Amino acid sequence: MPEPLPSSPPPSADGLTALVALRQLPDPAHPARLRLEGGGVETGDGALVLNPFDEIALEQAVQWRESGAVARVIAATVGEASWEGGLRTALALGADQGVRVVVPEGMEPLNIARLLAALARRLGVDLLLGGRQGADLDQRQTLAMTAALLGWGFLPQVAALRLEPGEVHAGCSLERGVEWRAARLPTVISCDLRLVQPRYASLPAILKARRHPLIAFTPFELGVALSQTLETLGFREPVSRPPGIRVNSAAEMVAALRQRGALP
Amino acid sequence: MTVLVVVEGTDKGLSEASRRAVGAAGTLGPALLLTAGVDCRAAAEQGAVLSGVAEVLLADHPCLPGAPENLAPLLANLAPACSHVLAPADAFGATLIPFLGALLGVGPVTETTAFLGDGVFERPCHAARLVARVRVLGRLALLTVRPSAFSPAPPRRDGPPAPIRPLPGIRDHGLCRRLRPAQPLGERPDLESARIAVVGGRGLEEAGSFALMEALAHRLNAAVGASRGAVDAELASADLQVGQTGRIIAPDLYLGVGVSGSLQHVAGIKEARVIAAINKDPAAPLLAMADVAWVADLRQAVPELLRALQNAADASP
Repeated sequence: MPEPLPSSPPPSADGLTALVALRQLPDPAHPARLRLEGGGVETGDGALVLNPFDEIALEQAVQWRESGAVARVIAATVGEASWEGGLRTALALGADQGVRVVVPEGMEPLNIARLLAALARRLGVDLLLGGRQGADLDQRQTLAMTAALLGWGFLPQVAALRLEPGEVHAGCSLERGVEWRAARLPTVISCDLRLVQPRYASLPAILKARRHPLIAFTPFELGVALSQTLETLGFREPVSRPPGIRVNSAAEMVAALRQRGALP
Repeated sequence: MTVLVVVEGTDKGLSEASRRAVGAAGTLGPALLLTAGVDCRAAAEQGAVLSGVAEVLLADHPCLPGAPENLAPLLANLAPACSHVLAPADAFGATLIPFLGALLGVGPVTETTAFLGDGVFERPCHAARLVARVRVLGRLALLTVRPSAFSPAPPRRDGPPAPIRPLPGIRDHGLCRRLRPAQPLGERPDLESARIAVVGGRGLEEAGSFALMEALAHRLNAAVGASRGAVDAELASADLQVGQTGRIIAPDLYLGVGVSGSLQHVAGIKEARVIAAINKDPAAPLLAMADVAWVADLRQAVPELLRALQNAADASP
């Protein structure tokens, strides 16, 4: 029996509230490897960065706040306690409030979506933004699920955005090109890398963010029941490619490709 | 086991990604194929003559494009009778399947590349440097399949086409709507289905345009793609971008020209059978990874390659 779609409250009278869902992950520039013992994933020296796609979403929200289109930007993490650093980075980049829900590592997207949806209802959110995928797991699930649980529309992989009265117009990146769609407020938006150029935080802003109070919720306080529907059994490396050859002319390249049956 | 395959239908019929999703479903059991879109009867008719399709449901309504909330509740009604609900990992399926998963309380496995049986699936992660093995704990598996990992469903060998019936109960929830369809791509072969893909990188900046890539693609009857660097340098449009967040391709031959080969780009091409690369930087990662690598300035190398290909074509009978 599918969960019923709850009705959504009308936009708040004192201006729009944008919530940006942020993840932290190991620096994607550091290639992930299989850990030799334990079968897990080795991702480098453990330094965490904000998911690059989520930085784009945060920048878009802050630009809206700076132009007056949006009244407040709430940065939110549903993740481990160590993600507090990411929340403070978001405050330094211009978010007005930081909200966190601390959960165990590796929580599946369905549960994260349940918590984000509960936060959106609790905080009177009109626009819920995030990056289109996590640069580590590439799943593209959480924001679509959050929209479904809220009974809101969803604009995926957005490369261009316009706020209109009562709705958002977005250019969504599809395989066949950019498709313009409209969604009534409130809505969920996932952001593509080319949407905006993210800024860098100034040192004074970083220092100030260190003292900013953060609001915390537990799943219990949000009234969310969690479940496990998937289990990750392990990881392997893909079959590796044998070493290739170097050629020094076009004729050699054509011969080598022909020899491999790659040319018509 | 009943397998429900959901694909986007357009007036042009079924995409290559959709055909590969039907092919993937065919390995699990007889499939019920649902084609969804507007003016998409052609998609249903093309699906009805594919092998492995037992029946076709046609969801054809102006409220469907761009609005998974209008389709997902109807799928939620069909899902209890199914063992799997599957869609391609294109923009359509990538939105619809998680949406459906939230309604059903079932976590999907997305970007699946292999079915290991007993509810166990493989999917790439960490820019395709690793492969994860995931088990679905419930009775129903919701999946999106990476098109590059599966073969398209072949045509039916004998017998009549599968019956096509309309999906009832479609209604507009009034949340999202499509404002205008995406501009159709040109006459080049589609990146996902082309046997040969030539991809230009930021190195094309020195040539000033993508004209060299177009000429190569024309000579090889290839699809044209671009790295993120080339798109950011405004040498090519974003829908040609190949890589972790763009098109993920598995052609028979990939030729990267002026492409350095970042982790994110390689994630989108590593399933190509043969990888060839031309780059003037001998340290470019793509050269190290390629089966056939040529350190050369593309401004001389590509015209030389065009001549060599012409000579080879003239020489063969």
